Amino acid sequence: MPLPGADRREGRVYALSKGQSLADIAGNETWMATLGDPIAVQNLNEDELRRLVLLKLAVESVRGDWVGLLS
Amino acid sequence: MPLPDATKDQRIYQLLKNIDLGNLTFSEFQTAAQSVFAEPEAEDTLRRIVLVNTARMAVAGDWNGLTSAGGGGSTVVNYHAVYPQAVIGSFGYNVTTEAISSSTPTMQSTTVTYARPFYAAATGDFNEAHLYVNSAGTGCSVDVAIYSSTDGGSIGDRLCTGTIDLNSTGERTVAMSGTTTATAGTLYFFAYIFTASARATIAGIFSSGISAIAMANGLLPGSFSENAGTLPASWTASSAATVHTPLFGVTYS
Repeated sequence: MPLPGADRREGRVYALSKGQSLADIAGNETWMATLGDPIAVQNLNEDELRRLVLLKLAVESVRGDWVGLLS
Repeated sequence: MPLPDATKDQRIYQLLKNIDLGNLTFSEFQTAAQSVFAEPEAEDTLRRIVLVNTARMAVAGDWNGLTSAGGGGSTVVNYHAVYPQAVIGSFGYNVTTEAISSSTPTMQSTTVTYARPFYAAATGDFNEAHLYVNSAGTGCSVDVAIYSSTDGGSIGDRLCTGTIDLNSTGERTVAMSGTTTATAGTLYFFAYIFTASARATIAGIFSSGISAIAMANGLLPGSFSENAGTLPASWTASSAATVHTPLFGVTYS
């Protein structure tokens, strides 16, 4: 099920990340920059922006404990 | 009620069943989440991962780190280890105006070890060594070490070491291991030797910009060299050097 109200088509974020687990992406420091460049900041890309943020947060969730958040 | 437009969960809640948020450890959470693939079919699971982790952090304590600078347990005091503080940019590296090409042979020697004197800025422990890679060098790394000083201002014994991988761009760091005790105002030396000839491009400074540092009884040269392909336990035949220098930094904890 796609994000609420999002286009069902597989966009850039998942197409490029296919076959990679969250742990794989967490170990690749440049991957998120690769995904985001280029994604133009425009209305048409709003779903991709949501997916990019979602994936980034999911990756950071498993990369390490967010101890810096609390200190 | 599930997340908006989400299908029924078949993983996260199943794996974490019967664990309270307050008792959910990072390890348990990571085990449940890290092998999920980044693909459209897993989008609902990705949403639940973010939701559960955010909820876990919400009950773990106040998020005061979110609105304060720094964090992570170490303090970046400055990047003066091999560079005069006055010309260091906001991120600690003078990347644009003093960048040195990887084609500069003396910058990345594999046969000569170089060292730069510096006074520790904090009392505590040397935590990490940093540098900034502009373009990566395949299989390239640099061994770094911090040395004590003798009473006469010469390079003393090797205290702690690390190896910085130069295979990818951006800020590169290594945790220093060994005797990491740092005393503010004490003279130390930061030494380095490259371990492969495949060159990365590293932010640095030209030799003309390397200044001597002041001691009580005079000036200490800004760079030293010794013909050693590995970082020696102690320097025996060092001499003053004129060399283009990578922009190393140290952090304290």
